[in-house]
Amino acid sequence: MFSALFFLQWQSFKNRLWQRIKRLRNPRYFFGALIGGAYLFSVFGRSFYRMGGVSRTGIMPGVPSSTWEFLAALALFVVLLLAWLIPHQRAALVFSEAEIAFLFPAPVRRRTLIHFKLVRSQVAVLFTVFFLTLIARWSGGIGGALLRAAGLWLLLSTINLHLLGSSFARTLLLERGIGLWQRRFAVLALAGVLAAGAYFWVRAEMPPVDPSGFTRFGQYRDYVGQVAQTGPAVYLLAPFRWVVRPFLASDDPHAFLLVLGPALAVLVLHYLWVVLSDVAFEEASLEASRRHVARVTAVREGRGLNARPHRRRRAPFRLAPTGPPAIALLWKNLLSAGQIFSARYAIILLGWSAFAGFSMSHGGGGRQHLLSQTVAFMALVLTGWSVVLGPQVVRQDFRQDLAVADLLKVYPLRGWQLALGELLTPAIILTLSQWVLIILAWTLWDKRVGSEELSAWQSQGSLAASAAILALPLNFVSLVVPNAAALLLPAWFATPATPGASRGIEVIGQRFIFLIGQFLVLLVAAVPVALTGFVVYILASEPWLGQPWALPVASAAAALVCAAEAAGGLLLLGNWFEGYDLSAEKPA
Amino acid sequence: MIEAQSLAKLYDKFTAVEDLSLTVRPGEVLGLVGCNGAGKTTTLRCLAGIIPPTRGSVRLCGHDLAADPIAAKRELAFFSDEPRLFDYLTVEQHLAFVARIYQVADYRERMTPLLEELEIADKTHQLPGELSRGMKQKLAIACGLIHNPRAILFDEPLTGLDPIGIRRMKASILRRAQEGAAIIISSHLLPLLEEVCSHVLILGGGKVLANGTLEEVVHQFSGEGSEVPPDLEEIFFRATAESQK
Repeated sequence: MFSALFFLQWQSFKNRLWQRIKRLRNPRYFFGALIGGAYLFSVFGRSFYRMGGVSRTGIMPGVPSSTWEFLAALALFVVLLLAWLIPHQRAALVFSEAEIAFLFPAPVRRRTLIHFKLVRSQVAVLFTVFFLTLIARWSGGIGGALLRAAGLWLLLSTINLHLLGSSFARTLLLERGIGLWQRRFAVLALAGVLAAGAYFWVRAEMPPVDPSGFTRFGQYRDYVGQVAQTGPAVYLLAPFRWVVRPFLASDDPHAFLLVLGPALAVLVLHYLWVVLSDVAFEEASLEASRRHVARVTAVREGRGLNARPHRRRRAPFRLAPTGPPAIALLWKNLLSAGQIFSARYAIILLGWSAFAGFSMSHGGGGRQHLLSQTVAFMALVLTGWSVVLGPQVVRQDFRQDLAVADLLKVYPLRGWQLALGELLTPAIILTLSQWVLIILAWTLWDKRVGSEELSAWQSQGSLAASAAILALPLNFVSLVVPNAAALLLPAWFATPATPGASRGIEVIGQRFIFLIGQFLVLLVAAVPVALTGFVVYILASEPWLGQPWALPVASAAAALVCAAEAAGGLLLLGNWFEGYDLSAEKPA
Repeated sequence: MIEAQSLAKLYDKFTAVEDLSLTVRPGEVLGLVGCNGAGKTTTLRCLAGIIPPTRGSVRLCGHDLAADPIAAKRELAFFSDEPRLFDYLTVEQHLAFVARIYQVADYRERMTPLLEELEIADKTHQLPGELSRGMKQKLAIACGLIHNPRAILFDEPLTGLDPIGIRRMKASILRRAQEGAAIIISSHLLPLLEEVCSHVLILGGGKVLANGTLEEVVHQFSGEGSEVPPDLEEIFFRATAESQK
């Protein structure tokens, strides 16, 4: 039976890999893979080559290995303790929907299913080990790195088995009437007794210590080193030390072999514990698998890891049955974005930021001044960041609705109306966020320039108003790029209709290309905008308006040019959507 | 009226639909039948403007779908086999949204009887995630019918409906046809088509195998000297078997 499950694993892996390789025939995937590969090599490849050349002893020079071992064992103890304390669900092995449909009704023993899951979890463990080995630049050349990787595999595999075993044990306790809080109390009591015992033992064995007398890091390090060598730590943490030792001892192959035995023994004991547990996990697995599917769907819908089911939300405003149809899409997408994006909340937020900014800037002494300057600076940085990277984060537009493109296609709307409706939501969300940041930056920025304070308020206010005026059209232009990419290269985007499109080395490259494309388009679009603004500013500043007023006027003129660019972008997007052939884009 | 003239759809070298012409007049219900992969869904998606045909033209209520898509789509409702809904809009919000898209000023007056007819009037504040498969199907149907379309395309309309829902759906289709709508139904449920359809179009390998009124198609595929006319299921088997010869 296990051979059938192994066949399933192996064939799934092989077919997935083959599918990826096949899609490289498509130039956009090929170039994506090329750039993604180059990027990964620039990040990880160099450290791989340096492995042979770099020779260091220990993880951090100056800290004895016994101290590291103690700290690592302690950390492992805490991690495993939490596995007994925190989880409240029954044991659940997560299977895919297809696996549940095929395997649960099949004549497969529970133990075989556990083995199947263990083999699959090994894929994740091995990938983690490989990944960390690539980026960590461990000492001892390639041989040392391989030993370290083996030690890490032992450590991660033991943790993995322990988490599974503890989940089985928790379920057994529940079945025997020992509830969640009873178990937590018992575990905490046991941990408390052990900690108290260790504390009194250390106090009895170690000379009295006054931490306030420590002035150097070395003194802390030495004290921890001493505790690590004292009785309770040695005995209580012994199994945990055995598990972490191969990882820490891998600079020396001989030492590695010496500590390998106990670690393997712990691993084998864990394995026996897991496979000999006879726990009914099927029901909990169904629930866990449902949650897993919800999480995957959430990620594909661009909701991040927010896998909670959608909740009923109050409409952001009352949608009249007649009027510009694009507003219907704004209304729908605002609903999708969440409760916070309503007119009421927006007004409250803007008012709050103004109030908070004025309060902070007019209070307190030097420390508060420093704080307000820091917040103001961060607000400015975030404003700039949101123009370039904001469109990658706020995705309530075509990227979200590509999965229901067939539905949008049936609506009696022009392409540009759909494009306008789709882009309105992220543009408004980004603009409101930027206004809040601009208000914060303006009110908090240093204006203490003696008698010139009023002038500082004016000149900074003029800058802030100019930025606020420019924000909306600029966001539209910025949003055109990712939406154009979604329509022109829909297979690059993860939607529920394109499973697997969000993974792979080529997707890293594709995202890299998008980001560069976005920068370039913004730069090109900025040229006529900046030129218009500059000319109007020169014309308006001295003879008529004076500097504080000329800047917002120039910004308004620049915003008009930017809005024209955005309108052009919307027309293009609309044309592309009208020409978007759903039948030509099949899931990758 | 739904008209298609020499419609063809090619995916690379594969021909999904070839030289298909049809006319469905107001009050007529056309049953679109064929084996899996015969081109039924592709045909419906071309007729709905979801995918562009490679060749040929489509007219909905006199409007050319390519030349005047907005006017054509205003008259259209398309129901796919999987209800396409927005997870974050309630039943009522779905209807409000669709009403704005189709500019249905009196949608509130239309909404209540429509939801009652579809038996989801008590679900107005629920999200699609809280509805059963059949309820979702009903909501999709309510969204499609709120603007009183005159050209209606159903792709497997009864999937997920309970027996009462099926009976009501059949009655609803017939009533809309009597009110002047031109309807195309694609389904594998041949007895259903026999009950509600005035016309039948049998597709095989993307080609039209038979097209006409139910009586004409029955007559076309009746055997020599048979006294009892064959039912649609028998006709379907004969037509597809003939095409495979």
